Amino acid sequence: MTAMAFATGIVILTFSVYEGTFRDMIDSSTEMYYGHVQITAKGYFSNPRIEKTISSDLIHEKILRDPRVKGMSGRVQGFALLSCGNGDSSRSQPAELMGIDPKEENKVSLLSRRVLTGNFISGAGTKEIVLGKGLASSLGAKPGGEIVAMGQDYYGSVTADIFYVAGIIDSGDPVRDTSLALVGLTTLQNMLDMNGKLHEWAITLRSPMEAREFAADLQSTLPEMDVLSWNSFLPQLNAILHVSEISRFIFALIFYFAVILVTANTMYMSLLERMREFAVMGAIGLKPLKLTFMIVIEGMIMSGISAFVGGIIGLLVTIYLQNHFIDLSSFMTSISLSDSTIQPRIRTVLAAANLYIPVLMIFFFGIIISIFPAWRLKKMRPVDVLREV
Amino acid sequence: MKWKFHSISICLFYFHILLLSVMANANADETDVRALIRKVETQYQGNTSHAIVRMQIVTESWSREIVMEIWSKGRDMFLARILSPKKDEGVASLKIGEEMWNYLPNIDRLVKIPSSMMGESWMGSNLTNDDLVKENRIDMLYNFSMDNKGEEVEITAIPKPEAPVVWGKLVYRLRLNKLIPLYVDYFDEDNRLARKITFDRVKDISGRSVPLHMVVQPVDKPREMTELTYTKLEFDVKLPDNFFSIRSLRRQ
Repeated sequence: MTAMAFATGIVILTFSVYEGTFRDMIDSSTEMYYGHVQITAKGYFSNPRIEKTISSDLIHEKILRDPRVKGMSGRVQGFALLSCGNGDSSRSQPAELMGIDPKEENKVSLLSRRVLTGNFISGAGTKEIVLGKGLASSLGAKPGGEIVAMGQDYYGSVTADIFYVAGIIDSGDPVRDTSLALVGLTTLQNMLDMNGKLHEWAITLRSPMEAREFAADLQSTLPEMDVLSWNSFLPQLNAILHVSEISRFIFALIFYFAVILVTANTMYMSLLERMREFAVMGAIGLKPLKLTFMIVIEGMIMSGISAFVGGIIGLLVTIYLQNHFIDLSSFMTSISLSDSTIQPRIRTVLAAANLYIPVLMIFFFGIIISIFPAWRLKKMRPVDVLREV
Repeated sequence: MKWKFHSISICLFYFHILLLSVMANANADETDVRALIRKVETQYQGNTSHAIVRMQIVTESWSREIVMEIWSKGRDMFLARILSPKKDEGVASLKIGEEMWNYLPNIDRLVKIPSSMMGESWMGSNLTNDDLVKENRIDMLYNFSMDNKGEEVEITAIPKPEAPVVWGKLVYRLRLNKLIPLYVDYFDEDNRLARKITFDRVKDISGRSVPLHMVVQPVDKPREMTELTYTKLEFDVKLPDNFFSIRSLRRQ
């Protein structure tokens, strides 16, 4: 019974750690950059061209009132060549400029909390620029420095503007940090001659797992645009989710199988030891079917208690690790994997399915392993048993 | 000024062929060959040009026309300034050797184009920065083979193994008479046709036959194209010594 309880606890913990790693990966992409759901012009995500725009006066308020929505931020994106320094010391680097309104953006992404030095953008109309770590290093840029951004505007003309470095950020994705530059939304709209236009609305929900359904609901109300959940625009991450769901289940099966083998043996032994008692009970009138029934109930109670205790153990450790994750950063760095990042830490996330599935599974298995010996006992004749002993 | 550099490379190549045939001749005198080479070298030295070009760019979403003034000196110096539309007036591109800068008048700043951006479009057209910087070195970066096709000649250029070029193969078609380029086909590294440039409206200017009209057509985007028309063209103009410099860009 102890074994079963621990097994349950371990499986719950394992599932929760998987969930934690997976959530880290989703968050690293969605909370740092994409958001959970994006509204764009048709085909913008797969082929981003500056001319594919949406209006900035969308049904903003209506979407914000949906209880599933945490925040919504309108953005403009432009490809530009950034230049820092003068004369021979000048360095140039191509970058992806993203124009944001910090008030809205802070409800969607956590970029403002990832400032290494300096500050984040303070307003949508400022001439501030925030550079990713790798980009700042390539340019040799520091807070307060001047950056010239040159690109092509909405109409194809060459356009440029001067910005001042407000701060340097580490988004957690070293690859993204080599090309990401944030500027004020209205400043970028002016530079690209795109007033009143946006490239995307990024939406963050209370739970990333609601994204697919939310996006489907919203898409039906906005047929002329693309409403995509992270499952669609991060398909590799979505594939990893499916694979991990299946592999989690297989892991549980294998693990439980091993535990069941041990437990079944113990349970069988305990029944064999009590053969004499069962025989006596049979002799004084207990019907074989009732004996079977009794043993199955015994099995149910045992596995029920194990499942319950295991469930509690698993739950408590999960809750603890959810808030106090194990930091592995001294052993490894973050790993970039298909546009997201695995953080160097062990963290759990409590999800209902990760709790009740292992509990129910062990309960079910417990019943099964008591049925076979119980069935065997049904065929026993009390007189044979008593004669043996 | 692609056509001009092509003409030079083709001419150089033609002289190279001439040289070979001269050398093959048992009666060839070594002094003759040397004199010929010298003549070729000095013929193109100190050569300057000045032109006004109308460039029309058509993409899937927009179409626009810019008028620019272009100067060049030898093979290493090039300056283009946009005259119209008003929005773009004063934007300039300067090339010295293999380096390139853009000047932006509204912020009075120079931006150096890094090598990683050489494949990007120049001024929004279907020509790339690299086209301007590298293409005058075609005779040094490629190996040539020639094929006679009646009144025309086809020259295939394969990049040398160490050459830092983006194309897998170039095929030039020229009219033998006066070596006028008809078209150039650009193939990518998988030997697929990627771009075609056609030339026409040939005119004689200062003893040279030059096509005044050029169309750049990307094969994978059939609705896009860039068209260049020379409305004014003159050679051997007098240009001050530091005309091609960053300082003079700003003064203009």
